[in-house]
Amino acid sequence: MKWRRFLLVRSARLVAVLAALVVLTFLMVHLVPGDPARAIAGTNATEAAVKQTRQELGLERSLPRQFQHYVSDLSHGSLGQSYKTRESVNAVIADRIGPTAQLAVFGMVLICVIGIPLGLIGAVLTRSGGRGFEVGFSAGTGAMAAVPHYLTATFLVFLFAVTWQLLPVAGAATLSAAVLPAIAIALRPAAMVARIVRVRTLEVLEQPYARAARSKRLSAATFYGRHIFPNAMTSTFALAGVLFASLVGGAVVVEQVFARPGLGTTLVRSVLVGDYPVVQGITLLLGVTVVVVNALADVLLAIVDPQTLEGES
Amino acid sequence: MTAHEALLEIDGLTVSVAGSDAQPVRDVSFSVGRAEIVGIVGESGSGKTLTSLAIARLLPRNVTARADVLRFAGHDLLAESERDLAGVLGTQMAMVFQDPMSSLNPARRIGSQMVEAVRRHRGLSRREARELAVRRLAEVRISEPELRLRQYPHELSGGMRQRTMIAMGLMSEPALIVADEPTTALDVTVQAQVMELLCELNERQGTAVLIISHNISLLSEVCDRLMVMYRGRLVEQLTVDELLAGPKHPYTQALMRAVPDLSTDRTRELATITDGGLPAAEVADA
Amino acid sequence: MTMRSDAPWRRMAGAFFASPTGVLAATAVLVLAVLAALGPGGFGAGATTTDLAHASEGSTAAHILGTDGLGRDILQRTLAATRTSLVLALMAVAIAVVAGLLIGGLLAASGPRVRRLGATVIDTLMSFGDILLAVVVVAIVGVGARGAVIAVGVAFTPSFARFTYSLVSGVMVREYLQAARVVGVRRRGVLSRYVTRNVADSMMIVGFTAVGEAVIAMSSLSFLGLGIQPPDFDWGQMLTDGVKNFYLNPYAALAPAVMITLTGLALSLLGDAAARAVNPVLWDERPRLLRLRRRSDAAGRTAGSEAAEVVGERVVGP
Repeated sequence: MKWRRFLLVRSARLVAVLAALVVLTFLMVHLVPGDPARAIAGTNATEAAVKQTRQELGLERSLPRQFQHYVSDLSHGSLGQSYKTRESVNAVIADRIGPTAQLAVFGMVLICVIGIPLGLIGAVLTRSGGRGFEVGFSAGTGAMAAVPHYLTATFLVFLFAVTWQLLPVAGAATLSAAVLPAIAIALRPAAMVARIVRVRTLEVLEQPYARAARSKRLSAATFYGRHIFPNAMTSTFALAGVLFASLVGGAVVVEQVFARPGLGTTLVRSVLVGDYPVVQGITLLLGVTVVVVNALADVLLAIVDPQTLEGES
Repeated sequence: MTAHEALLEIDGLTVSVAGSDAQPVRDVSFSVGRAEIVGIVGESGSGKTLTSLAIARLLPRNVTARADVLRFAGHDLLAESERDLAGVLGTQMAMVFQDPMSSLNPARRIGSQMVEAVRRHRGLSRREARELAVRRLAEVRISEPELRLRQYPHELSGGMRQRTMIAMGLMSEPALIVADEPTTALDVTVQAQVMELLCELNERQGTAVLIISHNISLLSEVCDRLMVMYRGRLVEQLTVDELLAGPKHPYTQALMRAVPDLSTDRTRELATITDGGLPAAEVADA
Repeated sequence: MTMRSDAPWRRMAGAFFASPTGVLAATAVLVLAVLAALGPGGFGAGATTTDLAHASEGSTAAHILGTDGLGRDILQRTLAATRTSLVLALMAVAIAVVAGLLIGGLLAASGPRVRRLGATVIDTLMSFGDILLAVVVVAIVGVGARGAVIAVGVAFTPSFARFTYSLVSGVMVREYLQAARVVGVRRRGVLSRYVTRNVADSMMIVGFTAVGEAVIAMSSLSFLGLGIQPPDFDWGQMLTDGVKNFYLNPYAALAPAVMITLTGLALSLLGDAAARAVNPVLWDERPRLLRLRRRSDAAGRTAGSEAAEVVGERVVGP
């Protein structure tokens, strides 16, 4: 009963956000100052050529009609056609999504593998380690979180790939080529996760149920493993969506450093040349992914911590 | 009562806070015999809770306890290590805390929380432990115990949760239940049920109970003996008969005056407890 | 405890400087402000004078941090870029704060339907993340310094709007506000005395952190080639340049990188310290670092039992 209500409310919100995304990506192209048809046809093109380009792109229609077309194309799974190459945006994305998806998955794994243990250990050591440790932890993770993605990426390139020649510098031909970019992407969010996990764990340790559990004199493994960490993790889990978004943003930048032929590099190049349908298509895809991941994270959170079901309704 | 009969024996317990001169509990001595129900009464801040936490060795880290004697079930709680005491404290002493809402882990089912202590300390199998949990829940009169084991704390009412806490404490047949304001967060009818339950357990299984409360009339109904704490000190120990006959200590007298009953004139303000009613010495070093 | 009798501002300052990070952050930000005030011209002509004879040199007596690909002095150039980098970031944050306050405030004041719609749109925009949103905005407003400022400003707006929105609607239902209304404080008075004060405090704190993040975001855009264009330069652009010649002179990349990182860190720490200063509850409390210091337990504890013993709740009123 609660579940049905929760899923209903959550999917209604998901639909609303997706609709908003579609509208926003549509408006994006039409907010561009100037005439895209002239830009594409070239500054020296004749009036007739510009007009023809405009017609080909469907830009002579009224805004509502264009929106109608955009939505109907989308419902058929088509994201439109590149201004520059006349290639379908679907084909461009299909061609470039691999390296980016790989990076996102690797990155998410790294965030969990680095961030969560670091935060948990940080919490336990804060309890016994005192002020010096806490200052060190805050400064360390703070610095990690303050370093922009591309900086981390650049230094990784020089250390591993150029100086030590351990890993490939550029491209996406092999799996090992994804290692450095994934580290570059994951370091900042991992620092964020470590900070949050540490604070949450310390909070959970102050809860009455932590004391109640302690009064049972369980083994350290049971005490932390079953009473403290799971509760600390559920509240951290709520941030999964935000983290994923930051991961996607990081990918856009980091791909540039490693010259990975992914969605990020394509997006930046399309912005530079004014290829709006490609920008639009990639933006929509990334946006939808983030939004859907967010929704899934909420559902998972409700499974792990059924109390959230109450709050939602 | 002679020393070897006492289940819990405390002499000269003093609790101090690191980095300050504060001593929230000072020179407290008392004992609890087997199958006895003893109450500690006092206003908030009087050191009741810290006393109970010191007994269970659950004091916060910046708070230290020392005592001349602190013995429970034949074990020296001062000298023995946490590791050696884990079995005794985990099975022989059960804690029931003030807030049943937050004393159960919200993210875990009742069942798994109930069985973990006996699984560890008694080595019961999963099935044996679950069967025991069902029996214990039934004993504290919780309906459909099988179902409850699969539920989460937020699915139970406040009274049920507190009874669950008690059932959880009973899992390993403890010799002593330490209940810190077990009914304060509950409404009046549920309060009575929980107190009755504690009395019943005491009668049936001979479990000693140490109840801590600010409510002197509640304690006077269930306890064999009462201890009155004021500003970290035990100011009076008396049996319920002595209490009803009229306490000697002015603070206890003041506490009694502060209790309204049916004959209290409702148009008059209740008596309040002031330092004025106490001997100067008590106030001076408080 | 002696602080208790002091003037509020003194206790505020006490809370601000209670932790070493507050002092460090304040010093760093002060230094940055001085550098920015001296401006691009304040560090000698070496920042912009090309000298191809001494291009891409490492550290020398004449150029402590070496030179870039066109023979310009890295140290001077890094210092000279302070103003541009900070001013662009500040402008972007200003846009975000103003737009965020407007949108968030209007949303909080409007009816439930508009509110829900607005919250949905804001959530959608926020789910993009800063960088992606900024890149998209650059696509609309065009490449360059102006575009980058607008882009970062717009990219930061949703979070400020969201923040204002929850802050205002949160403050409006607080009990003390209702109490103020009951005792007859007019609606305008309520707004200016309670809401504005609360929102302003929180905005200041978040603002500091946001400026640090904006420096990073602006430099990211420059790095992607979407931000400031030559001959103008900021740290992000210097970094892009420096990376190309990393082997010849690593300082060309390291110097701006260090500045970006330090600025981000200093401003976020300053935000933390400011948060302590404006919250009277924390004035007399030592920073949270102290509350969790090592504690000793009287009853004999062995090292082995430490882990099982680790929990220690704060003292609950007995």
